[in-house]
Amino acid sequence: MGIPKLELSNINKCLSDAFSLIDVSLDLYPGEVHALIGENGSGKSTVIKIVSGVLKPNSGVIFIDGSAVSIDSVSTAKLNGIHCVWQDLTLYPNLTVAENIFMEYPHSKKKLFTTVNSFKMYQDCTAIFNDFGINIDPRTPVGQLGFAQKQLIEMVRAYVSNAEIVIFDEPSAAFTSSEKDILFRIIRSLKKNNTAIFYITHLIDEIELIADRFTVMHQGKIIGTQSVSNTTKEDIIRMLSVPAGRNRYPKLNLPIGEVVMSVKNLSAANILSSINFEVHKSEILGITGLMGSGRSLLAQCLFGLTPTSSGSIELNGKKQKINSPEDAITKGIALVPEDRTASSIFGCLNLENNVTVSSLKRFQHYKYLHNQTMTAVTGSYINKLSIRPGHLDDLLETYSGGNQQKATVARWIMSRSKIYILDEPTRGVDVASKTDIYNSIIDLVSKGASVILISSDIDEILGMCDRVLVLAEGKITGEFQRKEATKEAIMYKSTIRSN
Amino acid sequence: MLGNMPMFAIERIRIIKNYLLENKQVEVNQLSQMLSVSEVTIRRDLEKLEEEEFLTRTHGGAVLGSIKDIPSDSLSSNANESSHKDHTEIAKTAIQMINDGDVIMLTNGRINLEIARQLISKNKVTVLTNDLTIASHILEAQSAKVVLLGGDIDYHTKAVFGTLTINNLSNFFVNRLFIEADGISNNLDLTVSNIDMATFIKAAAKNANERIIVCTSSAFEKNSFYRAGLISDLCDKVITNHSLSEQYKNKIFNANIQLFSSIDLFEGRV
Repeated sequence: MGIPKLELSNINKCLSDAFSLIDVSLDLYPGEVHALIGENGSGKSTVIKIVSGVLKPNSGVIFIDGSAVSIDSVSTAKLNGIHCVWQDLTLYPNLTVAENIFMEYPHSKKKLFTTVNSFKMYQDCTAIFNDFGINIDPRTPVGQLGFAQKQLIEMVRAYVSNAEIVIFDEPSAAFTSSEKDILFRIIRSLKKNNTAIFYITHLIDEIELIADRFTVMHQGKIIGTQSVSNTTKEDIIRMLSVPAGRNRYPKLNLPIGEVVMSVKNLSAANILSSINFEVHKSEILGITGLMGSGRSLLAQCLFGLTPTSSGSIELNGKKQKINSPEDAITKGIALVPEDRTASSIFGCLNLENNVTVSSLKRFQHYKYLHNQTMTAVTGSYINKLSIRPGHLDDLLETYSGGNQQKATVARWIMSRSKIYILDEPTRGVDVASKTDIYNSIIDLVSKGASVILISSDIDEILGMCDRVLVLAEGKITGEFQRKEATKEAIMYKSTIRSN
Repeated sequence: MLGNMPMFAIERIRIIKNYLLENKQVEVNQLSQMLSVSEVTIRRDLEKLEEEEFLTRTHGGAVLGSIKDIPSDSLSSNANESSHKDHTEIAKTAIQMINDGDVIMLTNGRINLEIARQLISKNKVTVLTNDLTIASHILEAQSAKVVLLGGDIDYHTKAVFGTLTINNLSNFFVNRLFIEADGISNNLDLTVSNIDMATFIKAAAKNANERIIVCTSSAFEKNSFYRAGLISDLCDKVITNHSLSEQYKNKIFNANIQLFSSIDLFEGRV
């Protein structure tokens, strides 16, 4: 295949005690799409950051066209013809679509004057949009576009950059199938121009559609690189599901009780369709799936945040209308939402208010709050959950992610609910706080409550849950009892469309 | 261990003081082994420290603090109460791991005694133990079938140890073994205050399906003399109190051991 366009040789990078890249070697040929896959935290993004000059490796060499280069900044990466499309957007919301696309490659009228030939710019932009079938007006300010449309703009930017190496970091996560088609069209025409492409993804289906080779990463190491043409999906999944170490999730083997909640034929927001499941007393029910599978949407439906378009929810055998979070709370349902900062903590309120806000009724004394009891009870929660620093008057926005999350957990346990929906409760949480949260979960079920644990961390799901549901594209594609659940089976059900 | 170098009295006394500050109590034979001097020398050192009102000599050992420091019993009974609470909390979690019909083993210790007390809620459990107090308690409550191991009785712990016990142990295989640890060191070594106990735990860990260490959070970072091995080799689960430091929560989780912090958060039952 000749000399690789880009070659990484024995790259090492230590990011923290818990994570480092170890001896990563990869190559990328002109006109090739090389997919990087692996679970969250496997090191894909770290590799990309090293290639694009955001991080410097501790050791190892990067070769471009066979000669060693040192990529010590984002601008050197650009000079070496590397363009990276990040997961997060880097657009200017108050400029138009075309202006954003040609920001770095302006259409100057003459060499001497640096005014922009905007007529030609919009003409070029329209031409490109027509080629790829993008239906966006180039004169719209980017701020008015939706997330997926903005991402498409980022893709077009990569196309016009004329970079010889383009990196896509999970580009399709927010895309519908028609937007994916556009993305693949862009990638194919980049390939035709002999551009070398790294493509990071979670979706195995996409690898088959677009990639020539793929590399599987796990815990900072490369598991293997293979060509797509002689590999089946099942092989890829087998490579992906590296067996986990010994189970480190605290789990009690409790007797499961009667059905407390049953969801029948639930559909919502044109994503979830015909969802059926039951939750039992003292059970931890795991729900997992990829981003966009509808996991969080389901949590919102159960908590009355998103209206359902059809179907019903029964609690203890009785049909219930849950039209608002108030309804849910009075019926004993609690939700610890996925996005802590936006939807659960009150950053500008103090710790005590944050913890007690859902249980104020308990401390009502005639028309007032009985502060003494409230303070004493809150103190005991803070102590037991090791919320640090833990002074009642601390503003919660000053706390670390783990401690904010524990404050949210404390809030709902104090409310003495019956069904706890925990959406990604340990994402972005330190290890010590994770163990506190897992122990709170087993405390809940050992006292007869039920827990719905939504998580993208399959090890956590396997370690904590009695039963696992897999969601893919808004449908339940698999259900496993604890004993039969394996990482492989779950990945299979969440990545491969069930027909 | 500090080797066989002769040691000056002043250095010996410094070590004894530090050890007592950390562990609150010590036995003469432990110190004599640790410092490689005779028990007579150790007794003399302890006498001197008692004159300084640093410690109070007891039968076979010493405890931290002068007898004059603790005139009223209020303080010590408070400490006792809270440590008793820690023990009950741990036992409550442990009891949830035991199924009806299990064959379990309880090594000697106060948390395991607490587990034995709570066995009344289970059916048809068989308990193997080296602790006389545990055996006699179960016998009185008739809460389980009990098998007492034989061997040399250690007066201090009221338990049996030694070659006889270990030979005896090899006749049994248990579903669940509860090991009570005196201390867990900074690098996750299980330590106990008696060499025979260390040998006993090593042997017991080989004859069990699931192995669980029970240990109060205050025992972490407290080093006893004798090493029984890394906890990752000895057990699958650790049960302790919620007040365990973050550092240890990190270490145990990262060592792939299930950590139960016996947190009792939810008030009442659903």
